[in-house]
Amino acid sequence: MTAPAASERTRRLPKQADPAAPLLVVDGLKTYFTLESGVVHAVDGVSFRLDHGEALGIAGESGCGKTTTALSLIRLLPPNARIEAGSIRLYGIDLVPKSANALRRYRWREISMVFQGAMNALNPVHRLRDQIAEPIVERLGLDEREARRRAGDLLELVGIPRKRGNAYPHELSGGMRQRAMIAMALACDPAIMIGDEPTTALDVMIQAQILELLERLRAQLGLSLILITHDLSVIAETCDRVLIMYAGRVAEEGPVREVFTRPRHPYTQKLLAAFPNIQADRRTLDVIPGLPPDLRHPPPGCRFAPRCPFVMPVCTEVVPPEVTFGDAVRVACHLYPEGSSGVPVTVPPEPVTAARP
Amino acid sequence: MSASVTTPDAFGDVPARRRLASSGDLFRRLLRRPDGLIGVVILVTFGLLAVGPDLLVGPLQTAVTAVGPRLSPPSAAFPLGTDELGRSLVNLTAHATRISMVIGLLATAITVGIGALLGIVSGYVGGRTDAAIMRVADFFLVIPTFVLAIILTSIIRDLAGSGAREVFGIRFGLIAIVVVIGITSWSSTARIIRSQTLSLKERAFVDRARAVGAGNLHIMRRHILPNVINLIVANAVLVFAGAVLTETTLSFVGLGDPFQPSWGQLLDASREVGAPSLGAWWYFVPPGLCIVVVVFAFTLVGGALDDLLNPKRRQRR
Amino acid sequence: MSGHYVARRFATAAFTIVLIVLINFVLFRAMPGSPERVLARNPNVTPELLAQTRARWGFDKPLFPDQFVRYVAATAQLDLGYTFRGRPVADVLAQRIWPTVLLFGLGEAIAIVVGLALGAYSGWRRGGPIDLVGNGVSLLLYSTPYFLLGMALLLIFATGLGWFPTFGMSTTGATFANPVDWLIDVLRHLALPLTTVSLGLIGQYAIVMRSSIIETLSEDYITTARAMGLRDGRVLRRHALPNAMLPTVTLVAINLGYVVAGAITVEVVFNWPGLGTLTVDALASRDYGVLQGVFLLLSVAVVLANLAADLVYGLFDPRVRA
Repeated sequence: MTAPAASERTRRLPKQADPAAPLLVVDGLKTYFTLESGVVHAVDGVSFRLDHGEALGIAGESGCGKTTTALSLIRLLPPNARIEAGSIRLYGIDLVPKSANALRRYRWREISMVFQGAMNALNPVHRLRDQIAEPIVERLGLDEREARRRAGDLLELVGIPRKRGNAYPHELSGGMRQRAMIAMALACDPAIMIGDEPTTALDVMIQAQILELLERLRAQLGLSLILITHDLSVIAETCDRVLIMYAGRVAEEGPVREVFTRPRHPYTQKLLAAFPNIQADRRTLDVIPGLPPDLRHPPPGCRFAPRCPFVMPVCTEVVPPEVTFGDAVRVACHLYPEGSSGVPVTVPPEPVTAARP
Repeated sequence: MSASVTTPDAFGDVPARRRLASSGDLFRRLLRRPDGLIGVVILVTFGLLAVGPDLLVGPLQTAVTAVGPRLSPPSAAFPLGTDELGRSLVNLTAHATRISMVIGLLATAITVGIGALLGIVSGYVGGRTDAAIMRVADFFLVIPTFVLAIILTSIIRDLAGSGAREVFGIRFGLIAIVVVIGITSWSSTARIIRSQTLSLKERAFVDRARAVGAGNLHIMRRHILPNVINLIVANAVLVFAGAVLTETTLSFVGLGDPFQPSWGQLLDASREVGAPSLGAWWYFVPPGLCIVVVVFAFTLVGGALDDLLNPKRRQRR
Repeated sequence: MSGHYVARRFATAAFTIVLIVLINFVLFRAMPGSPERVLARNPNVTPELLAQTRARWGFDKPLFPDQFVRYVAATAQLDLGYTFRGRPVADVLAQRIWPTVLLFGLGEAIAIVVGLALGAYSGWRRGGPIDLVGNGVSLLLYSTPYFLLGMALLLIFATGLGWFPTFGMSTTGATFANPVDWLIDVLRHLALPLTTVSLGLIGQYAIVMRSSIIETLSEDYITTARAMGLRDGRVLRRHALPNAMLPTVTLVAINLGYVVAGAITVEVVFNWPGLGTLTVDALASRDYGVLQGVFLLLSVAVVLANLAADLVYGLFDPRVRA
C-alpha cells in the first residue's frame, strides 16, 4: 500500500470542516457515570489539543479517567455514562452536540481505535481479511473485492503476510493479533488513531515491535496518535507530548522531554520516581502511598491533596488553576501560581511537613 | 464475586465463623432484590401450607368422607368446586401441596446429595475417576431421562411392591418416584460443583492442609465442602423446581398415588374424567396454578442466588 | 472441522448408545425376575410361547456372555421383541413415530425460529418493553408443564370456543371427498397440540438465547464493531448473533432429552396417536417390551440429534474447526 499523502486526506474532510482549525481540540470535557450509589465524576474538565502528525500520550493510574476520555471522543461509552459538558472539536466541528447517528459517521473514518486485548477485540468467527474489509465496504462504500484487496495491502503494511488474511484470530499469536487490530484501525485511513494500552498484554519483545510499527506508520502515513497507557516508558519512546491525568483531571501536560526531565506537579514527580530508569525498569505506578479519591465525592480542592507531600492549606479548598509556562508545559498545582517562575519544587516546604499528622 | 461470600482472605483461608455470617449475608442480599423477595414470600407461603394442611382444611377427603355434589363448579360451600367423587378441590389442592412439596424436597435432597458428592470427588480426585464420572454425568444429561424414570419407577414398584409402608409420611410407591428422580437428575449439580472444586483445589489453603498431612477425605469434608455449600444451596433451589415438574409429569402419566394425591396426580385424575372437554376448569386450574407459581418462584430465587454468587457467570463450555 | 473433533464426537455418541443398550439389557434381562416379569404379566402368553421365548433369548444359558450377545445382536437387527398383543415392537414403533415426528418436528422448527428471535431481540434491547414482557412470559411458560398448557388451550379453544376438535389426529369415521379436505382436517387437529409444543419450547429457547446475546454483547469485539461506526443492525446480525448462536445450538440439543417428557404428555392430553400415547398406554398395562423399545428409540434419536448439533457447531465455530 502506498502511503496516502496528507493532501489526499484533506480531500475527504467532513463537509463542515474548517481547514484552518487544528485537528482536535478538547475543551472542558466532563463525562460522568451514573451508578446506584451516586454519580462518578470520571472525567471532570479535561482539555487538550492534538495536531496533525502528532503523538500524544495520556498517562495515569487505572481509574484516572484516561480511557473514558478517549472513549468520549467517539462516544463509545457504556449506557450509564454521559458527556455532561465541554466540547470536542475535530477540524473545528464540535462532536458533542451531534446525534448518535451523525457521530457514527466520524467513527473509524476520522478516529479509529486499537484496543487492549486484541485477543478479544477481534471477532472469533470471522477471518482476518473479512474483518478488516468490513469497515472498508460499510463505511467507504468500496465493493467487496476491492475491499479485500485493500485488506491484504493493510496486512502487509503492518507486517503480516497477505496469505494470513485467511486465518481466524485464534490461529495467531498475541503480537500478530495486535498487528491485525492495527491494520483494522487503518482500514478507513483515519486522521487519528487511539491506542488504548495497545501493548500492555504483550511480552517485552513484542511490545517493542508493536511500538516500532506505530512509529513507522506515523512517519509513513502522517497519522496522529493518542496513546493511552500506564506505562511511562511507552510514552517516552513514542510520543511528542504527554498528558498526566489524576482523578479525572489534567495534572500536567507538555512536551515529553520537558515533563519527564523537569516534572513540576508533585504527582508527576512521584510517577517518575517510580520509574528510576525509564529504559530498563517497568514497575507499576502503585508505589505512591494512599489511594486515589472516591470520584463519587471528589475532594473540594486539588484532588491529589490527600496524597501530596507538599500539601498546603489552600490545596484542600481551592481547585488549582491550569497555568501554562514558557516551555509549553501546563500544570494544575498551587505550587506554581500564575506568573510564578515555574521552577520545579522538589523539596517539601518544612512547616507543612511538620504540620502533617 | 462479592468479597464476603466465598473469596478467601489474604491467607487463602476462609474461617468457619465468617462463612456462616456470609450465608446470612447472602440471604439478606437475596431479600433485597425484588425477584428474590417475591420468590421467597411465595415459597414461605407454600411451605407453611405444606406443613399443616390438616389445620387449614381438615383431613384429606376420600370417596367415603366426600360430602359435595359430583363435579360441581365453585359455589359458596365449595369455593373451588368438587371432583368426580364430590371432594372439595380446596381440600384436595391443600393436601396435594404437602405431597408435592415433600416429594420435591426429598428428591432434591437425593439429587443434590449425589451430585455434590460425585462433583467434589470428581473434581478433587481428578484423573480417570473424574473422566469416568463425567462420562456418566454427560450420559444422563443427554438421554431422555424421563422415559428411563418411567421404566425405573414401574420396575422398582414391581420388585418392591407399592405396599402400605411409609417413609416421611409418604407411601412407598411415591418414594420410588423420589429415588428415581434422584438417580436420573444429578448430572448438572455434579458438573457445577466439580468446576468449583477444581478451582478450590488450586487454592493455598488446600495445599497447606495437604502439607500438614491432612487426608483426602478430611480435605474434601473440611475444606472443599464448606466452600461450595452456598453454590449447593443455590443449585438445590433450581433442582427443586425441576423435581416438582418431574414429579408432576410422572404422576400425570399415571405413576401417581390416588391415595396420596399430588398436584400432578390431581391433574391426571382431572384429565381422566375429561375435565377440559367437560369445561370443568375448576378441577385442574387450582393444582395447575400451584405448580406454575411454585416453579416460577423457585426459578426466580434460584436465578437470583446464581446471580449473587457468580455475577460474571460464563456459560460457555 | 478437524478429523479429531469429528472422531471424538462420533465416539461419544457411540459410547452413549452402547450405554443405553447396556441399561436396557440390565433393566429387562439382568434384574431378578426380569424375564418372568416381562412375560408372566401378559395375558396372551401361552406356555408354548413362553418356552419358545425362553429358548429364543437363551434364558437357560448364563446371563453373560450368551444372553447379552443374543440381546445385542437382536437389537442391532431391530428385533425388539413383541408387544402384549403379539405384534413386533419395531412395527408398532415404526407406525407411531410419524405423528410424533410431525408434531415435534414442526413444533421445534417454530419454537427455534420464534424463540431465538424473541430471545435475541430481548437481549439486544435489554430492559425495553419487549424484553420485560417477553422475559416474564418466557419464565412463566418455562414454569408451566406442557400438558397443563395443553389442557388450558383445550378448555379455551376446543371446549369453550369450539374452534378446534378436542382429540385425535383426524375425525374418526369421517370419509373425505378429496385429499385437501383430509389435510384441512388433520391441520385442525394439529393446531392445538402444535401450539402447545411451540409455546412450551419458545419460553426455554428465548431464555437461553437472551442470556447468550447479553453475554456476547459485553465482549470486546462488539465494542470494536461499534467503534467502526457500523449500524446497530449490522453489529447485531454480523457480530453478536453468530457468536451468540454457538452456545445456543448446544443447549437446544441437550434440551431435547427433556423435551421428550413434554412430548409424551402433550400427546396424552390431545390423544395424539404418537409415541407419547403409546408410552402411557404401555405403562398402564406394564408392557415392558414397548417401554424398552420407546426408550431405545427416543434415546438414540436424541443422541443422534446431539451429534448433529455438535457437528453443526464445529462447522460454524472456527476455534473447533481448526
